[in-house]
Amino acid sequence: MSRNQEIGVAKPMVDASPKARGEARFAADIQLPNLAVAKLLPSLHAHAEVLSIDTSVAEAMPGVYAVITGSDIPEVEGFDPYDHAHGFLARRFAVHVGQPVAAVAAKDPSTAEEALAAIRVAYRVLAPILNAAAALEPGQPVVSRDATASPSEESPSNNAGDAEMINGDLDAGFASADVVLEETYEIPMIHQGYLEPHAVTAWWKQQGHVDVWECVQSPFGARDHIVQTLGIPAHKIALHTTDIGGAFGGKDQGLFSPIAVLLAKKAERPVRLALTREEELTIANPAPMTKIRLKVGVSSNGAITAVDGEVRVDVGAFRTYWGPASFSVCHMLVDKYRVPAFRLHAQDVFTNRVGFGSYRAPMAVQAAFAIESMLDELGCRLGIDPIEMRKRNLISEGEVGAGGAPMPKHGGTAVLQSLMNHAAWRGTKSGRNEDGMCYGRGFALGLWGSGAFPAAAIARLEKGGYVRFTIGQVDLTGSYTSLAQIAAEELGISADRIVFSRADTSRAPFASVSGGSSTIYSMGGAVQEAARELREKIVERAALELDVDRSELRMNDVAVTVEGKSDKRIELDALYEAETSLFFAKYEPFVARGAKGGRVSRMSAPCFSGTIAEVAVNPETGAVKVLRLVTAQDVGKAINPMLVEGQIQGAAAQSVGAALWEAVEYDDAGRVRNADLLDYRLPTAADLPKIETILIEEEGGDGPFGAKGVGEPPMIAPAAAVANAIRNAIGQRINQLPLNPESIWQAMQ
Amino acid sequence: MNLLEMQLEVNGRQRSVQVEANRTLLEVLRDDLGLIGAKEGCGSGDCGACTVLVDDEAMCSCMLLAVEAEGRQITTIEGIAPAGELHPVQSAFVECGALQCGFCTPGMVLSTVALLRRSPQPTEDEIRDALAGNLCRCTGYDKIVRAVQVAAEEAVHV
Amino acid sequence: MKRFDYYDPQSIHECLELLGGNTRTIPLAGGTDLIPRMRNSASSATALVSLRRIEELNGISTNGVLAIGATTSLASLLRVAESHTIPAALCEASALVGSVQIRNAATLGGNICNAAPSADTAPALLALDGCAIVSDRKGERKVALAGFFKGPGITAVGQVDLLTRIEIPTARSGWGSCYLRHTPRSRMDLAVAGVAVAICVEGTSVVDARIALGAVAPIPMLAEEAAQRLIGKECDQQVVDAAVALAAAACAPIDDVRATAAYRRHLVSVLAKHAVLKAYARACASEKGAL
Repeated sequence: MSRNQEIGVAKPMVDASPKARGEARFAADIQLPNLAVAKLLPSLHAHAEVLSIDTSVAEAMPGVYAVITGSDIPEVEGFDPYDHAHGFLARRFAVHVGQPVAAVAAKDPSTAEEALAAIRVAYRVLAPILNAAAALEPGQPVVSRDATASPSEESPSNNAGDAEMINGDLDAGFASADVVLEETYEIPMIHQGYLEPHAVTAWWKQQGHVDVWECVQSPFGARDHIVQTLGIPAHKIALHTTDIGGAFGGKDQGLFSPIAVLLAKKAERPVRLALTREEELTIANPAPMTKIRLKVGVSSNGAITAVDGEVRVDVGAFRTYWGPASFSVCHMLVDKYRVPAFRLHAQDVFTNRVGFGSYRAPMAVQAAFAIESMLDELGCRLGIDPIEMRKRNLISEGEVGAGGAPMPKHGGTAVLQSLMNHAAWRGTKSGRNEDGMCYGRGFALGLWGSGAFPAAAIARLEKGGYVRFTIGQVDLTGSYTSLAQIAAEELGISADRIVFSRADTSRAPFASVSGGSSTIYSMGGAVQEAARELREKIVERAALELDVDRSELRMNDVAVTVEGKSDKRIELDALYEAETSLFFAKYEPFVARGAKGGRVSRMSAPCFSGTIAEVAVNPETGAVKVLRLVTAQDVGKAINPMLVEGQIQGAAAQSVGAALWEAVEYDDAGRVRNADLLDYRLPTAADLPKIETILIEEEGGDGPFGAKGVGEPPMIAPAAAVANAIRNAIGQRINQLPLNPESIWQAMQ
Repeated sequence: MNLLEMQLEVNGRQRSVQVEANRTLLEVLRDDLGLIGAKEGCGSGDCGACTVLVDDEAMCSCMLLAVEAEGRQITTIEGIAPAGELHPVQSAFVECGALQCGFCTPGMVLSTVALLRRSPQPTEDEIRDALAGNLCRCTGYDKIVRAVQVAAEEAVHV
Repeated sequence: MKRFDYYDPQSIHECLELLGGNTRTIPLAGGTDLIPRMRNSASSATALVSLRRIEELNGISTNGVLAIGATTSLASLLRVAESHTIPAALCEASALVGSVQIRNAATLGGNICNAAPSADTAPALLALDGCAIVSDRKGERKVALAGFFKGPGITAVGQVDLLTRIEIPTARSGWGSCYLRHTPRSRMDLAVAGVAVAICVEGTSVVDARIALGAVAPIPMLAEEAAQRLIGKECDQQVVDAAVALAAAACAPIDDVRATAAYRRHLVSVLAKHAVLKAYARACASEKGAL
C-alpha cells in the first residue's frame, strides 16, 4: 500500500535540532564518575625491536592509575600479527612510527603526559621498509612480526596479497586498437578527515563485564574486535555507540578499544582514550598509497578493445578484514564499461607505515582517477566528447561485467544524458582567457554497488501510538530519519511517530556496518519488513475487535479505522493497553521483526554517479579555483531528497580535497611530516563552490521503495572530473594526486 | 603550579572554577562546567570545532587559557537560545539541512551568529570567507551557506 | 599541556620584573602560536606572563606616527583600518592571517615576535619602514624592523625585553602599498611566499620604494636592490620585470613540506610583479588625492 506521504519528502533529520543545540553526545562527551584520561606512548621508529620498557617510575607517580605495555595483552587463540586489529599495541616489534608501545591512565592529561615522559623504552632500530616497489624484491628486509606469528606462514615476505583478473584475448584486443595509451597514476595516502578524532571509553562496571562507548560504524564489529584481541567473551561486552562526528569508513570497528579496556581493568575505574589530531593523522587508518599502471586500447570510435594494468597498494604494516585493496582497484578499473579483453594484476605490499582502512567507496577514487583520466585522454586524442566516450563504452543491462554477473537495470545512461545536456557542459569555454586565467571543464563517471549486508530490525508498538525500532546500526547522519520515513510509509503513520533505540550490542539484533551505502538498502529493507509485519499484527487484532475484514481497515497515527465508517475505529492506545496490562492481557505484545540477508554480488543495485567540474587555473602560480561542480546520480528513489543532496555534496567536497590538496606526507625515516590540519589541507568553505545535484530516480530497483545506496557513489567521480578539467584548462595532463599548484605549474613549464 | 580560583561569566551566569593555568577554556567548559557543545577537533586552531564567543567575538577556545578568559563574556552554543528553543541561526541550519554529523555545528553556528552581528547582509563570498575557520567534512558547505543566507534574510523581515 | 607558572601583571614595569626573573619566562599575548606550542611541548617555557591587563600595550594612536600597541589584535586593527588610515599592505596582510577566530585573538606584536619566516605582517611592516619599540628595565629603544628579525623564531626582543609597540610612518599622499601571498587553499594556510611593496611617487615617477619578502628566507627580508631599481622610473613592464628579477635573485628559499625552493623563487617574481603594479597604481591615485 503506497501513500507516498513520507517517501520523497525533504525534511530535516530527526536529531537535527538537538545537534544544532549542541546536545549530541559524541564519544569524548561521555561523562562517568572518576573518569581517567588515557594517553599513548608512540614508537619513535618506523621499524624496531622493543627490547625493554621500564614503566616503574610512571606507575609510581601520584595520580597515575595504570600503565600497560604489550606484555599486558592476554594470549588469545587466533592471534594474527598481520591483522590490523591486533596492531593496537606493539609487542616484540614496533612496525610504524607512532604505533603505541605503552599507554597510561591518569587523573588528568598533564599527569598522563608526565607519566609518558617517565617511561623508558629501549629499541633495537631496524631499517624501515618504506619503498613499496623495492619491498617485494628478493633479499629485501621484511616487516618484522611478533614471534608467535602464524605458523602457516612459510617464509615471511612483504606480499600482503596478490591476485590477477583475466578476460578475453589481450593481444588481439591491442592489435585491433587504433589508439593505445599507457600511463602510470599515483594517489597518495589520504585521511578520511572526519572532524571528530577517535575516542573510546571503557568501564568494568560489573564484575567480569565491560561497557564500552565508542564512535564506531559497526557496534558488532567493534565488540568482536575486543573479543578477538583480548579473548573476552562477547556476552561480557556491551558496546554502546555514540553520536559519530564523521566516519566515512575510518571508524568501522574502532582501533584502540583494547587499550581502553585493558587500562580500565587495571585502573579499576572508567578510562577514556581520545586521539589527538596528530595521532589521527599518524596512527589511525587512512586510505592507502596506490600506484596504477594502465594501458588501454580503443578503436577510432572510442570503444575500448583492451585493458592491461598493474595495481600496487602500499597497505602499511597490516592487512585489514577486506582486501587485497589492489584487487578492488582492478575490479573498478573495468566494471563500468564493456571491456572485451583485460589482464589486471593486483599487488598489496607491506611497509612500515600505518595500516590502511576504508574511505568512502574504498579504492574507487583511486581507480576512477586512473581509468577516467585515461578515457578522457583517449577521447581527447580521438576528438570524441568525454561524455559521449563514456556512453559508447557504458555497460548495458544484461551484459556480463567484470564481476562475472549480468548487470542489472541501471541509471547510467540517464546520468550521462542529464550531464551532457547541462549548461555546465555546454557553455564552458576552455583554454586561456583574456583575464589571464586558464579555464576548463572535465567529466568523470563513478559506479558503486549498494551494499547488501545482513540486517535485522525489531519493531514494537508503544504507548501514545509510537512505534519503536531496535536495530544494531548507528544513526549515520540521517539514516535513522530515512529509515523512519520508510517505516512510517509502510505503517501508514507519520514519521515523527517512529522512535529508534540507539544500537547497543547487548540489546540489538545483529547488524553490519553502517556504511557501504548499505543502510537504506539493507537495513531499510529489514525495517520495512518489520514495519509491515507489525502493521499486519495490529490490523489483525483490530479486525477481531471491530469484527470486520482486514481489507476494510486503515491505520493512522492514533487509530485503526474502517474505510468509509468514521465511527467504527479502535485507538492504537486501546490496542496497546490490551497487549500490555500487567496481569491479564488480551493479546501477546505486538512485536515484529524483519531481517535481510547479505548478498554476494556487489552489483545488486548499481549506482552510477557522474560529475562535471569547471575550474580556473592561474598559469603564473598553478593555483586552481573550482568554479562549479555538478553531480548527477542514480539514486533509485530518494527517500529524503534533502539528505541525499547532502550526501552527494559532502562526498564531492571530499573527492575535490583529494584531487587538489590532501596527502599524508612521509619523510625518509617513516615519520609523517604533516600531521596537523594546517598542512594536511582539508577544503574550507572558501575553497569550494556551490555543489549542484541532480537526483535521477529510475524505477525497478529492489531496495525499499526502489531506493539505492547513496553515500558512496558520489565520492568517486569528482576528483577525476577536476583532474580532467585541469587537463582541459592547461592542455597538460598530470597523473599524480594531489594536483597542487606547484605540480600544475611544473607541468606547464 | 598555581591553582587559581576565579569567576568565569558563561552564558550570562557567573561560574566559579578552580583551575590550573595550563587548562584551556575548552577543557574547563567541557570538563568542569559540563558544556560539551564545544569540541576538540585539532587542538591547534585549524578546525574551529571549539569556537565560542568571547565578548561577542568568535575565538578558538582550545587556544585560550581559561585564566585568560576571566572578566570576559563567554557564550557557548548552549547559551544562544533558551533551553529547548532554537536561535534563528540554529533554526535555519536545521531547516536547510546544514548539518549531518553535528560535530562542527556548534562552532559553525556561533561563527555564523558572530558574522551576522557584524555583517547582517553578507554576500556568498563573505560568508565563505567568514566561515573558512570552521571546517566541515560532511556537508561540502553548500547547505551551510544557504542556511546563513536564510538566517540573514529572515532577520531582515523580523 | 605541561604545567607552568602564570602571572598577570598590570603594568609594563611589573611585567619586566617578571621577565627578568627566570630565563624560561615568556610573555603571552593572543596565544595563537604559543598555546599550541605549549601543548605539543615545542616551547620550553616554565612560566607565562600574561599581557592582557596591561592597557598601554593595546590600542592604536596616530600622533605624528602610527603607533600600534603590541597586544592589539589583528581584528581590532582591521576594524579601525579606515578611520586610522592604516596602510593597505598591513591591512591586507593582517586580513590574511588564519581565520576570523585567529584574528580575534592574534596580536600584531605576537605575530612578529613569533618570527615565523612566513609571518604575513612582517613583510608588510618591513615595506612600510616600521620600527619596533622594545622596553627593558632601563627604558625604551627603537629597533628598525629591518634589523628586528634574526632567525626563525628569533628577534631583537631579548629574554628580559618586552615589545611594547610598533610604529610606522603615517600614510602620506603619494604613497601606495600592497601585500600579496600564495597559499594552496584560499584561507588558513601559511604563506608559501609573500611579497609586500610600498611605493612613493611624485607624478608618475617613483621617488621611494621598499620591497619585502616573506617565507623565502630564514627571516622576512628586504629586497633592497630590487626596490632601488624602481627609483626615478615609471613602473612600466621593463622596469618592473628588472626589479622583480632582482627580488627573485635576492631571496634564499628552501625545499620543505610546503614547496620547493625553485617554486618559491618563481612565486616571488609573480607576486612581486603584481604587488609592485598595485602599489604603484595606489600611489599614483593617492598622489592625485583619490586616497
